[in-house]
Amino acid sequence: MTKSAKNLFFLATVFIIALTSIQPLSAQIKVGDGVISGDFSLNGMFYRPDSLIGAEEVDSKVRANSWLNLQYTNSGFTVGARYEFYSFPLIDFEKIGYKGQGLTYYFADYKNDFIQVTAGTFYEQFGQGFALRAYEDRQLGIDNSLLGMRVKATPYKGVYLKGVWGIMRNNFDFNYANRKDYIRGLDAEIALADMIPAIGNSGVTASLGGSFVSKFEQSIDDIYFTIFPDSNMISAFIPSKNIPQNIATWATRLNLGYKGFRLEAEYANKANDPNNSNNYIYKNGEAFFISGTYSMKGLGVAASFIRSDNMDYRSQRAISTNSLLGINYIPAINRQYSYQLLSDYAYASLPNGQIGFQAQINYLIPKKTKIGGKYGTDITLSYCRFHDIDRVIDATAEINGTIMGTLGYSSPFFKFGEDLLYQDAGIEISRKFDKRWKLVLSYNYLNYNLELLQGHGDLVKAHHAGFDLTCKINKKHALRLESQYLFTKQDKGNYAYAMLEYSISPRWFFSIGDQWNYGNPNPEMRLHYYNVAASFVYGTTRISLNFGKVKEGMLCIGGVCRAVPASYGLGLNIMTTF
Amino acid sequence: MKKLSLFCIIIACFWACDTIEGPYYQAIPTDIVEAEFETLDPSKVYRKILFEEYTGHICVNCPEAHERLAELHHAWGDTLVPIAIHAGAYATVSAMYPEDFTTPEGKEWANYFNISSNPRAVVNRQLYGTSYDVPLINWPNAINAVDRSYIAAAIQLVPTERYNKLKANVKVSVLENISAPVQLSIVLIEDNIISPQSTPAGRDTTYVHNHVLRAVFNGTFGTRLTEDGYLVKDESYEVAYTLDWKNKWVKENCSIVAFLINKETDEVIQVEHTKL
Repeated sequence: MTKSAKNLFFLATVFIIALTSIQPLSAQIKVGDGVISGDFSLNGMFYRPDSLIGAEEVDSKVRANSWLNLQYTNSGFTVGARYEFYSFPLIDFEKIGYKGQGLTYYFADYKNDFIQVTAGTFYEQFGQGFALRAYEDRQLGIDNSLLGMRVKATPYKGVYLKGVWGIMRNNFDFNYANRKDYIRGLDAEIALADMIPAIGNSGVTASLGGSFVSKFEQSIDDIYFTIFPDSNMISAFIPSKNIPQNIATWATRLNLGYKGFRLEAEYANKANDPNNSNNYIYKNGEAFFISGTYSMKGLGVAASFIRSDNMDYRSQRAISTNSLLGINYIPAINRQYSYQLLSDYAYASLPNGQIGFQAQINYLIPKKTKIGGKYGTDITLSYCRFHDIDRVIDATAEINGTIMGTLGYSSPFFKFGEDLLYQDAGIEISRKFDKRWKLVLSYNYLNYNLELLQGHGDLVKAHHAGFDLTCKINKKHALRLESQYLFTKQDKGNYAYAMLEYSISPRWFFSIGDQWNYGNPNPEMRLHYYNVAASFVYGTTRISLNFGKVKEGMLCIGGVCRAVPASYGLGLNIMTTF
Repeated sequence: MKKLSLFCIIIACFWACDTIEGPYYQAIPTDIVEAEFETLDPSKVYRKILFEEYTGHICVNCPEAHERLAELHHAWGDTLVPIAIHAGAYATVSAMYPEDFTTPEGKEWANYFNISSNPRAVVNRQLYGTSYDVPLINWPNAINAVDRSYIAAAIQLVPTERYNKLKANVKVSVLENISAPVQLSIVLIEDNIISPQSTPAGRDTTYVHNHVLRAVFNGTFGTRLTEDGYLVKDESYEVAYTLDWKNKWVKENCSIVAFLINKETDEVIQVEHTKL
């Protein structure tokens, strides 16, 4: 589709909405037999410099991220498009290269009981994502949708097939004609419970799946480097003909369930993929994940194990920044927290080398007991530990003083490496006292390897305590106090955080909060990062204003992280769904 | 069953995976520099231009190009350093054209620079318009387009021989800041080779081939002078590379050409040549 045709399609859709729309804030808009739906977001900020916290001067002062999604569905037919305006984006997005504007997402889709076909851009995931995960996360600035074709078929009940073929999105680079890389993949899953009624009726769920993904990237450049055998410096290169152009990853998965038990497992293997993130080694990559859970009324037990080795899999071998052009996804299995003070120490999944486990017990002390109280008390105990994998350097690499152009290393599969990456032991207690009062208390002991996870610093040993008290004043009004404390002798020292939130349901939310680095080794850096916010919700529209300071740190979602620069200013956020 | 067969065919089409067997890299060992280089007078250094002519002995239009190159070489003097690279369909060997003038490196260059046909030239490995290969009619313009006021480095060359090996001793002196990593490429060329050539008048069996690329000392795109490829202004770097001499080469007709390449743009920063 030409650029002008795409723009025309988009404008026509907007015009239809304008003509037919009476209540834009109501639910989906009917047009003939079909329905138009969508969402819009504007996230803007007026920046002020603050040299103390490291907030830079922004020359244009005001920046914003904005996008509009529109979709028209009529029976089994759907068309949609998204326009993004990130030409002057928030500074954290500019720093990761997510800058530009245009129609970034457009598709036509047809679906019936047997087949679904999609042309245009689409998102897709195979299993856990070890072989393929094309997804978006607006907050992280990740969008690695595929532009091409997708077919999904259900040839028999319980048999699900998928095929994809496309070029991965590279931020706002729309020069697809000159791209020399593309992706193709197949996925098949058999759900035995759907296929065989006797199994389904017995309460057993069982499915078996397999994926095969292959990327093609033309190899035209030799890769030059230096080796140091016997302390001599010698030039060397990997000829372009020795760089594989077709690189495949296959994965197999299993899901079992019976009553309260669930077991899922997935294994993936990637063929030789010398690339920038692994220093151009020829070792195969592997990933393995297994998780077991048991739940019954009042009790839940879960345990998971993960190992990933040389599994960074990109559409372009020279790219190693953030998640740009990432074909696959290695999930983080550790418990994810929303606590402010833990955001700097959130564990990011490392596809090129990690081994670890997570265990969690959830127990509900029964209600109307002495210890459980009137409504019962929830207790969650969790523990996780992650290490680097153990590596035995390849003999040629030892001689050369570099792993480039060799197999790199070998790694015993279940052996933990010496370096501790992350450890978290925590307890959380949640109790509702009566119709008005609810309290959540938490404690975590953390170890976080700043050097290996963020490229600087020591092994942080920290204690974190959280206190969250909610008072429902009446049916509409509620007041919530949240406070946290982080105690550590490493990195920037101790922090305290408090936030008061007042809500007038269903429309208004007000909050005021402050994060204070009172334990910073440098007395001049014992700063306050305050924030004042107000939100208004009307139907499916939310408008928020906030003012304050944001400290430099990390934003992590689902084990994928990006850096957040320090900032100070007034922010406006508008989101609506229709 | 038909659906399953179709599915299997689709899987076969998708079965795309290249498995590479080792060794994966090639080392380019340096040799000991055994030459005295003359004291350099930077004021006398001028930028020379590498002229890579892509040609072939069964290319009937190439003799005209050879004449044109000779005229340009005469006009520009030693500022223009030509190399004749035989590659592509017009360089194939046959009973009528038995001499193999091709080299593996020459073929790789032809592929890398997307040489579309013969005769073509790549001038200082700079883009001319949107492509590297320059048709005959534009050769003078492409030479004129080189910025000769940019004199970033000087190259000194001293060949030495021992037994049946030819050594190129090279000294690179950095005169200006170079903001990109660079690599040094050293090649051997030969003049006055009598061998058949296709011409408009027919096959000429006594044709004289000049500047023919015979061998490359140090890899297709050269080697680094430092670990990371970056050079420091006012510093000098000495290296030596050796190749095995072939008896069919005539020493009196051979020259060594060394050129410094900007690895970000492929542009030739400086080139030098010397006769054996």
